Amino acid sequence: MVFAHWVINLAMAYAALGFAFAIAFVFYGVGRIDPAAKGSPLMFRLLIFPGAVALWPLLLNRWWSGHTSPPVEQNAHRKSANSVKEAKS
Amino acid sequence: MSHVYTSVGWNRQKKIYDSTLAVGIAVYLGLFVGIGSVVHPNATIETLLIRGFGTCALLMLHIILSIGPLCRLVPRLLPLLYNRRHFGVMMFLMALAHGAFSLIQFHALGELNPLVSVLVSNCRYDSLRNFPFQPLGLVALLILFLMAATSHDFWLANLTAPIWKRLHMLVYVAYGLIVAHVVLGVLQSETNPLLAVTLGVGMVVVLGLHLLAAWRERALDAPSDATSSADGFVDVCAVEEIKLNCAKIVTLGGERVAVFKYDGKVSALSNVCQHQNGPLGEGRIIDGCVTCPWHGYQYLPDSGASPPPFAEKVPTFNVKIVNGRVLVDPKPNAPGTRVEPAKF
Amino acid sequence: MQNDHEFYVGYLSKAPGGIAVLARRAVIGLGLLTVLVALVLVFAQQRFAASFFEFGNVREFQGIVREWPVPLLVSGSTSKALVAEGKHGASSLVAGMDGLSIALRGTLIHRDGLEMIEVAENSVRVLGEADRNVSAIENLGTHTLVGEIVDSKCYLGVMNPGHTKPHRECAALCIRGGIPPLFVARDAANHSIHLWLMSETGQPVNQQVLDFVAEPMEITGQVSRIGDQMYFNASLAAYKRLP
Repeated sequence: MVFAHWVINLAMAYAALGFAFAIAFVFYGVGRIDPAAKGSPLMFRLLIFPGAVALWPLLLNRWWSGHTSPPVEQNAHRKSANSVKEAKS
Repeated sequence: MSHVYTSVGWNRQKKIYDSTLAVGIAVYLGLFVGIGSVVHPNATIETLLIRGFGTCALLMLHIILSIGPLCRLVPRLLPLLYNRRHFGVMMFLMALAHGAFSLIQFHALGELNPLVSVLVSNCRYDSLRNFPFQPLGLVALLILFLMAATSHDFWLANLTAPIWKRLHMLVYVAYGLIVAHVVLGVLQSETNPLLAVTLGVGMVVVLGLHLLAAWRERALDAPSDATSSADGFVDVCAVEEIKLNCAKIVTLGGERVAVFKYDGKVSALSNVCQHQNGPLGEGRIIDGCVTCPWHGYQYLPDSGASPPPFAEKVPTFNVKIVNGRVLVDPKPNAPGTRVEPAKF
Repeated sequence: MQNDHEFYVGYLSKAPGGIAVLARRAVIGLGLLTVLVALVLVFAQQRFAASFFEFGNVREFQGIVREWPVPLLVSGSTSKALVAEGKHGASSLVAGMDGLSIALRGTLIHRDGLEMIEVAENSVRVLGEADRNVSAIENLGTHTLVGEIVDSKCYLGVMNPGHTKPHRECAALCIRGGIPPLFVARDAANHSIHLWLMSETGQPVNQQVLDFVAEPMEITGQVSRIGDQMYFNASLAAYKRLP
């Protein structure tokens, strides 16, 4: 019972922090980390709100570390292409 | 694909897709609750709604999970895949309604916080028959929430497609939890075998389609037995083996490569669409661009770059034609690098 | 219809003819599946018990309060069990009123001849002294019964179904909140019998039975009757889970 209370309280605290973060993120942060979000409509900001509540540590990290555009995915071809490029330069 | 995010990039096909979905949900709930209240006059409306929303979500989840392999097997069904994300979000909303009504019905107005009550009101973890089935549903609902909340293209871009896909692969964990939630929950009480048979048929269809699609795909990912020449180029096929404006897919450099034939030329680029990692090689050349079969993202075949203002880029491969055979250098060029197409 | 040259691009307003026809057929197929599944699930559900909660119909009731073994409102030869709103028992609402004549407002819950009142908040009024004499206890002997521990409020009609596995968590929460546990068993003639489950000494066992609700149980204990209510006094050691 005590453990269950802890689990629920921790989840609530995480969600509350996420909620506060998400308000700042969807109105200010999102345009900083993704240029395609600059000038986007209110409805878009509301749509990403629940995800920002859930994944706030990840977004906070990108915002905090000053990334100005989304990361680029890595797969076998992209990694190999990058290593060839680096070897040439 | 849009330059500035919008909430939903509505188009005619999406509108048709979503309205069909809405009609389907209304028909299901109308039949289940409407006929249910006539056939079972003693049932309370809360029970009918909880069961209606839950079974609606379960049926939708089976259809959603079947669409993927079905489109691998019959690509002409791709319209079913086109707006599947909205299908998923609607399914989550049905599951959420089921969960919220159940939480209020079974856990509100008691001595405990309703969420704590879900976790502690049944502690028979030592028994399969009496196993707490509600926490299983709660965890599944959290997974479905995470998926629905990250369904916008913003999340695809910012998590990157491989991570986004891995996150969304959790749907199979959710599916397993939901099946257990149903089998260890309502099926412990309901005695009509038709209910278990219905669920069993659904599971067989989902599993069967996945196995069949995986079996068909197996050949594609086998290491290429093509011969490589002294300069490292790999002989992938004869020029005439590739249909005009289509591609042949071969596995080179640990990933699939799409070799396109168009306009008297041959170009090769990574098969993996940057949007949702769709199979570019199953796409077509439309208006001079490689067009992904999943959501229509486009790339110039010689450079692997999306036409402006879009910014997606995929790796390209050096290619040449010798004696009517297409030879591809397995070393990829950086995404967006223009490569002279081989002419035939 | 098969046309390999056709290629579907979602953002173009029209799908190629053959693909559109196939998609339409698939949608019709899924539509039929939707109707079929809805009908199968509606008709394959078990019949719902004839249990009733007269929700919205708050009435006035009068009678004599019995606090023990479970809170009852006795009127003539019939008695109605008392519970509070939500998942709470009525003990605190009638504390110290045993034997008093009272009036209260509440909502009737009933099933299989058993009646219960969900007492509206702050509605109990004492009308006067009535009868401090407790009805005679009729001892019916020691019995081993097979059945299920349910929370009486849901089982008698507030929820339907209000017992078995899907309702287990709710039953545990209700009993935790003071709603008296009822043991639903079958007699020799296979009729349902309902007995208020008590400790060996006739005390409430709410907090002790939480782990046993909604499971098939075999319990050996003393069966007795007071007025029109049956009681089952058993020690926890005499509870046996059935496989």
